[in-house]
Amino acid sequence: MSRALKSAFYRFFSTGLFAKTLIFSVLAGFILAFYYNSQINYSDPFSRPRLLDGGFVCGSLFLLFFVVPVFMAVFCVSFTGSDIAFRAINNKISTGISRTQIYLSDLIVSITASTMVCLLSEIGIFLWTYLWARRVSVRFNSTLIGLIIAPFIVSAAFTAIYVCTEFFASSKVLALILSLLIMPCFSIATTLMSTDLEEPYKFQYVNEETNEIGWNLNPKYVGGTKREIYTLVLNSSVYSGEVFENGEFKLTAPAIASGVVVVAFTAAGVASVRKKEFL
Amino acid sequence: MENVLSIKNLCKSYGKAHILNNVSLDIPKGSIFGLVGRNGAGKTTLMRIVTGLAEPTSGTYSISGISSDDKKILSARRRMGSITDSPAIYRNLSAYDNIKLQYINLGMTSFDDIPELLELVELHDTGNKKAGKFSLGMRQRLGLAIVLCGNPDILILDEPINGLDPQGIIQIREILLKINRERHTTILISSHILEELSKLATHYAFIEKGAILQTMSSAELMAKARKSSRLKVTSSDQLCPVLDREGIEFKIDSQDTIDIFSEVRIKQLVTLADEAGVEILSISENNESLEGYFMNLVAQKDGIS
Repeated sequence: MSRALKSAFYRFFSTGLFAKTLIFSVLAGFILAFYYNSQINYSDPFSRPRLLDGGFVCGSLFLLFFVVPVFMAVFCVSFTGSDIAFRAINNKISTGISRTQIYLSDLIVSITASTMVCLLSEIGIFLWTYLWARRVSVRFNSTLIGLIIAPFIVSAAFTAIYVCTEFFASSKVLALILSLLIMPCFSIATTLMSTDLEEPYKFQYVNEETNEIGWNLNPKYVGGTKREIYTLVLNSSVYSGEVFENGEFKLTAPAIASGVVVVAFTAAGVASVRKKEFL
Repeated sequence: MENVLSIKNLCKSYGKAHILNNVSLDIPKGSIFGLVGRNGAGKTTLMRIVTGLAEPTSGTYSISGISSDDKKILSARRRMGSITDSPAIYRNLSAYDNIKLQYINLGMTSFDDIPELLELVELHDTGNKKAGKFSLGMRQRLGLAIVLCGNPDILILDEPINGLDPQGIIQIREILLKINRERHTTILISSHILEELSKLATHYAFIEKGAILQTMSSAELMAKARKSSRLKVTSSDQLCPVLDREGIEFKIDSQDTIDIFSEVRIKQLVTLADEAGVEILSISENNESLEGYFMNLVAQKDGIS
């Protein structure tokens, strides 16, 4: 494993991907803080002194759920995709490094990169917010702590999906397209699920002849097992409003779901790469 | 003679398509073993299986005595370098970094030999230039340098001179001969350019439709190859009927070239040419090439089947 891991990390540092990740992380922290700062100033200029008190930083951190997966989709194509597209994976296999080791080492480096992006972006967000907001005090409540931790976990889950996609996809372009679509599709799907769940079970109507109030069953109503699945997904998705209960961010369900995704996609990826015949 | 690579009854099928049928081969240590076959004959599949890129449907192979069924085969592969089809290099890395990465893949900690390796393949002056900006010939040579990392016992090279210009072909040939001579590296090589292969190989295996037709050393090939007299004439077409009438075995090579396989005296040839109204421009001795031998072999097999 150590040969595969050393090789993967050497490539991470020598191909310029490390530098690019570093630059992106610093810029992301600054841009997200700047973007949210301008939004807050526009909507409520008087909230400025209390920006660090929760809302502002939480809002900026929440944007990481959208930004980091997109960056990691591109990163995984550049990193793992190059291994396959340049057929350099053949060199590793023919030197006796097992396919499982190759897969896991690529995954470890990619998750390291996603952790690095999250960490530096968050430091950036806090730093820039402090510089802009000045007279503020930070109150670390459960929501803020949850939103600090969650991007690491969620990004790791997306990274596991992307690495798996790289090994399944027939080309870098296809892998990039698929990877870039995963997060928006999931985000849209959770929004649609949320809307479906809000459908009322019955509709009230007024009988015009008798003037009595009656109830009609809603044919669109989602019930039974489907409702349970929808609820489970929405409680586990950071892209749905359900993760906020009474204004507080619930970390447990998204964390468990992300862990399951990492394990499931890694297992599927390893199983496939062991049987795959590389060109 | 000790064999570095032994292949026993190897079969490979994709669905109903049988790519390899009971292929058995022994590659002697220190040899340059030429694998000769048409497109789709199974050369690349055979090489991909041996290098671990594909799994055989049945059969085994052993590298330096370690069987493919043995878990130690992974460590045995460290003593092997391979290029299948085109060189596997990171185009966003320099030649030095590509080689260093392969050193790391092999678990080597000292990188002192890299400049020597770059010198061997004449890429020592490329500096930090990315491999993506290299010419095809340079990429092939870099690929060769990568597979030479760790001084392997055997090289598996699938079409290493594909697409190269004549100078590039000569460069690769010189490098291969040098490493075979100086490092005693065994080389299993396939190429469509049979004339070039004949300048390198010490042994041959002829493969057709996934089966080995014949294996032989280059000395045996020389002995078996038929000799002929090559005639340059003003018109092949006019001379043919006269040669046919006399029962002389021949083959038309072009409009003005005929190969004569029967033993015929020059005086008789001149008389026959006069009779046909043809002028003989030159006569030379001609050995049947590797290509000719292979084509005859395939034709014989097709005739039998």
